[in-house]
Amino acid sequence: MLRIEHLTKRFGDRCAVDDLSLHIAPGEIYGFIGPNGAGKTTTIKSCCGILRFDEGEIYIDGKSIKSDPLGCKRALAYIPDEPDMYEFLSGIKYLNFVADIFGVSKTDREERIHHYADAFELTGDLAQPISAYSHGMKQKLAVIAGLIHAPKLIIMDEPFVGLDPIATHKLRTIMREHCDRGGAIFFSTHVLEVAEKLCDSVAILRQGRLVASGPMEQVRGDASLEEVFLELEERDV
Amino acid sequence: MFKALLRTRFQSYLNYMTGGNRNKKGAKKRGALYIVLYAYLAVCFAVLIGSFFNAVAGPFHEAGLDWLYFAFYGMMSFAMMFIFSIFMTQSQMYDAKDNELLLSMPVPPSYILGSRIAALVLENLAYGLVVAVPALCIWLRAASMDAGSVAAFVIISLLMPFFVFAITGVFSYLLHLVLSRFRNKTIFGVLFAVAFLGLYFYFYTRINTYIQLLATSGQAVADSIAYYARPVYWMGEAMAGGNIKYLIFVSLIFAGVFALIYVFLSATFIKSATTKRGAAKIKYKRREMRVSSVKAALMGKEIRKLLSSTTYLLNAGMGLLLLVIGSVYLVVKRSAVRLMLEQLPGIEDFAFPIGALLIAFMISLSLFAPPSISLEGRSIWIPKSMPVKASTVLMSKADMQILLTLPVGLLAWCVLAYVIESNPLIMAISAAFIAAFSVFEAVMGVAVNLRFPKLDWANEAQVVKQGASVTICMFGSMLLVIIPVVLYVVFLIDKVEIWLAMTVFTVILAVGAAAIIAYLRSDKAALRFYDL
Repeated sequence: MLRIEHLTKRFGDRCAVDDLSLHIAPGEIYGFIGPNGAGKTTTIKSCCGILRFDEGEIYIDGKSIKSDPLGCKRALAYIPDEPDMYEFLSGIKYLNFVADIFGVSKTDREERIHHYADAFELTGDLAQPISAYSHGMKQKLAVIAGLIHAPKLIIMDEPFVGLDPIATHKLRTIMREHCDRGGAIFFSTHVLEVAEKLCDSVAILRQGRLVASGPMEQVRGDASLEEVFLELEERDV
Repeated sequence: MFKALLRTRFQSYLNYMTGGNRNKKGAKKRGALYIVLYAYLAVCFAVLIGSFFNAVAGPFHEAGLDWLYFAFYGMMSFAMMFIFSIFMTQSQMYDAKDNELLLSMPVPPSYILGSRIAALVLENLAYGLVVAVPALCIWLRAASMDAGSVAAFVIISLLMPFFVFAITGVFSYLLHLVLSRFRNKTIFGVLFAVAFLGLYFYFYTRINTYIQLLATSGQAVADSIAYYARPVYWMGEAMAGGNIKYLIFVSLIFAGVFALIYVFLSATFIKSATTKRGAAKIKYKRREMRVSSVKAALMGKEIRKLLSSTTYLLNAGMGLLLLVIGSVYLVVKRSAVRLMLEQLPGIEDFAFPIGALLIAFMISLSLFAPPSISLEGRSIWIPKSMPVKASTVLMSKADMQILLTLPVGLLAWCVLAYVIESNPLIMAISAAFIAAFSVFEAVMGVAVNLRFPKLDWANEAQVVKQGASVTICMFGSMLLVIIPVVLYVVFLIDKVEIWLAMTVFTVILAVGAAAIIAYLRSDKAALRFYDL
């Protein structure tokens, strides 16, 4: 579903991502972990066509993000770490706007918006302007907006930040259901416990380089993910 | 701590002028360009204001009403600062996005407020200089001033910005208090501003009457001011005669009012800046959803953005508002205008093109597109991540401006056709000229904003009012109207007929617009957009 091949991105002299290769298969929840500044967000933005990269290639559902960016964007949903949305719109108008952009039919958008808004207990606030939303409510709205067009691949940057425990549980359920239907999820997180419980595979990034990747059991071995992560950090230091 | 706040504030101002830190190479050039453009604007205003002082300086001096001249200087200076800073004060103080961040730090609210006030007072001082310089120069030419008078002039001119801030500060507080209670703040903000501007234009259109009145009944006016507005008399007398007693009175009033308001605003700042009052929760009711095309959705979003912001609507829509007011005025005064034109020999061929140029000039003051990319701010990830071409996003911003300016421009053309008789060829070319100008303005606005974007603003007024792209487009558009007129009048008026000159100008605009549209649709523009 998502294939990253030799991705390299530089900001001036600094190499933010260095020769990164990953493969995320359909039905897989893929966790992306690493310390601050490791290059997670840069990788994610490159995958979503928001950031241009210097070398390598990214394929989404078989399409190249370089040669067919619109085709790739139609197949994916991007949920950023900071849910900065159009604050002058109400929640429902923003969702309807996103549905228009993705060409979602009237029946589908009505059904999906109300289904997910009910699930995240946001229905009662949909008429409110986004400027009146709390951080958590904005995060929920960003998730719903990402799900409206039933994407094949969902790419999320720290999706659990700001969500209450109920919403976190709901999002985890939705993520699992999405992958059970054949979709894939690629997300970054600092919450190693969540990653350990939720992810089928994991990649650990440090200073732009991949230091470990593969199925969760394989990366973790007999230790916990936290122990592996800390050990890799110490080894590099 | 206060110094750090001040530094941040001025750095922020500087960033908007130079395009920020991202492109340091061109920052100095842009800063210089910005200074030149503002200097040009200041000179235009100074000339306008100077003409008023020039008309009254001699008669007042001869009538022994020197103080009245300086009283008028003080009042005009006050009006200039008040008009230009009232809305800026409100947005800088209460709508700044970093208010909550700063209030969460161990910084006294009076320091936060003080740093904002310092910037606003300096801005007022700049506006005040535009009045002070011509007033002083013209007076020194018509009469003379001793050292005491000059000192009083300087002291009052320096204290006036503080006093004006105090008044605008109270207005801003009240405006914020009222607006925060309404759900649809934009409508009330616009109504307030339109009422305010209406009052301003009412006085402005009657300025000649007032000047005549002053020239013929200066003594009576002076007596009224001296009797009913004593502090204004003191102010005039302090500057005209170097009266120390009056200077102290006026200085105490200015400083005292400022100190009182500063204490009051400091005490209420946290509550005012952070409380979200009034607006009751809107209950969501399930309704059928409207499905739109991608283009319609993008355009709808642009329009909603415009309608949601009083600052954006007023600053960008000023030209259109003036065009509508001017058109209505022209219809009402049709007979008088026709009579006036009949009395001007040789004007018949030029009246309609001049009208069309005036329409273009008003369109050039309609700056919806120039800040539109910058206004995406931190939400820029949305259009970048959408499955939509960058050119579609960029053109939706230009389309919004075209949708607003073209119909109003053509409506004004219809009014022109109703009021001024002209030959069909000139009328048709004028219509094409207005259409080409509207499109050129819109696409140029987007292209310039793509070149000079500012996405990390703390307050949208900074991009709508002071952004580099808005400033460049405003002055560039004015020059686009003025330069061809000057060239034609100076070099071509006897050689080329007006219809031919207008046709050439229209074709140049159309070709220019087509070239910019081609650029906005190009990969180069798309890459630039994705690099934002």
